[in-house]
Amino acid sequence: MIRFNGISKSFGKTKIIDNLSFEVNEGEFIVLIGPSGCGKTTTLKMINKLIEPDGGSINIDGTNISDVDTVTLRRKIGYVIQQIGLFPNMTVEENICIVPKLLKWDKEKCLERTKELLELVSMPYEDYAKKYPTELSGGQQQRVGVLRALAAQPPIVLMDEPFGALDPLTRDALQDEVKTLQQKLNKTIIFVTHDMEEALKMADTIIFMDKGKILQKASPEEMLRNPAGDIIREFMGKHMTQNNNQDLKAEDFMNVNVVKTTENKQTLECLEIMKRKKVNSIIVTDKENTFKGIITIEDLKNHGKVGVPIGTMLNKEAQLIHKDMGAKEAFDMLIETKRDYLIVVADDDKVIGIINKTSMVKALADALWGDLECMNS
Amino acid sequence: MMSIFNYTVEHLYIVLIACLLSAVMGIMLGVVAYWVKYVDTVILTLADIIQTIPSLALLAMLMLIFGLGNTTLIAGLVLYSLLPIIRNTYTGIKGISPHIKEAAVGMGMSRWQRLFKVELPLAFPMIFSGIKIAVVTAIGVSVIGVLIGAGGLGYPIYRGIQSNNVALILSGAIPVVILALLIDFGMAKIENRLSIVKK
Repeated sequence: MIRFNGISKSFGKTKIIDNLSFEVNEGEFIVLIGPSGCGKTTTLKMINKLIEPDGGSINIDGTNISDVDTVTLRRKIGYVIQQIGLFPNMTVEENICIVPKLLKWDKEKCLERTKELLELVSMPYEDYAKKYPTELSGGQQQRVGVLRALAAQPPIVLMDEPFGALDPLTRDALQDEVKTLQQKLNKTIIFVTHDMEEALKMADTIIFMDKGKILQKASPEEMLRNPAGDIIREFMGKHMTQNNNQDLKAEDFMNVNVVKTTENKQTLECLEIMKRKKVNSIIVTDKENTFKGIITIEDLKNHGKVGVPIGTMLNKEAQLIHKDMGAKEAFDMLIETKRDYLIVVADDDKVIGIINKTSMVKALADALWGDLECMNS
Repeated sequence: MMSIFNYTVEHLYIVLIACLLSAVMGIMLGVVAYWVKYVDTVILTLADIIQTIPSLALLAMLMLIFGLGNTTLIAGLVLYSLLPIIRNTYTGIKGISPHIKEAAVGMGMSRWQRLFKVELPLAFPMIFSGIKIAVVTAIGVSVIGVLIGAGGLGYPIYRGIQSNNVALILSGAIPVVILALLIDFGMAKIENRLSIVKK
């Protein structure tokens, strides 16, 4: 367990970390996120004493790290950086084995460990161990960077934007691999990123920092649901909008392809339209598109006579709703009234769309899984 | 002509001893300059100043301490060759990407482990080219060693000047030129190979 107790740090006159306290449990995947200059990297680097705090203490498993020999401490903490930092004068194998060698493991154990680790990321020992870092792709280099950090089986691994410089596909693959590795090996990982998507995907707990303070420490789920402040909401970006449906109105998800006709049309014409559009009722308006009523196939059957305008047998039983009606209200009404559709109208009863069960399902799906094109098909 | 061969061997011997000593000292001073804050300017300025002293004057001053003979010449060459080696060691290590250094620190390497496992190996092509410059310069400079009683190819040249014997002058001068060219060529080859490996 890692515990920060009232840590502060200034560079010159600028306060970078301001009285920071938090805990990280064993086996937890913690992501530190926030705008640049929020102190997330500084926080990370204090754990392996690359940066010394001005005040406060950091305890790992109950021991204050300032009482531990720096070199000994660092060998027990894996460290992965964005720029990878593999040593170009060493082969993949030599790079992976640096810390084990520093810890005086014997050759056989080192070899075994290298093979085992390369296996984990599907880079066969025979093909890759003797290569130099420059012979590898960026993704492979960072895989080796991660393996190097894991080599001496440290319980804690620090990762400073490890995938920031990789292309999206490689990044995605590495995120999955690291997450799997972490769960398999039960490591405590402190991970710095400025990419909310990455944070949501990887983290057990997200710590959102701004100006050297923690704005929110929560699970991804909780942070999505209740972001503690505008800056977090902004950071969530598109992840937020799909979950923020309070303002959704009827007109936002109505179907605008409405089968309409005017009241001077006659019975046969109407039947023809119904046949063509495969509907069993038509909305009837005047020439200005103002709602007059609907006409169903039953109405036509029961009252229709050839040559008579449909205006005489209009059915007034349709349910109108205003375009500003809230989504939830509209859905409730659709279910309660047991109608096939609601007619959405603008201020002066002008018909602008309908809401039926299909539009409802689409709106729900959109809220759950993000933007699925538009609703107007 | 046998004696020219002997002079050449002696010449090379003096240059090699001097450059070995100055390589060891130069790399050490370069590392100290890199390690200790503010000391870098002191060391580099001193080496710069030594370089600007005319070689004859430098040897004359050293003669007061070491007397006549090869020792004085070697001491002079060592001082003379320090600058390119110190400078290249210093800039070579300084120029290593900070991320690589940070990775080394973060993984728990001590200062000496970083030096020997990471910094010197990575700076080595640069250091080697400093040594090359030092050797080639020393081959030329050591010719005036004859004036303070040292041996080498300076001797036939000096004798030729005194006796107005062009053939004798050339018998000393041509081997110097050939030596310098050969060593420059050979070391440049090695240098190239080194920088390819490091890429």
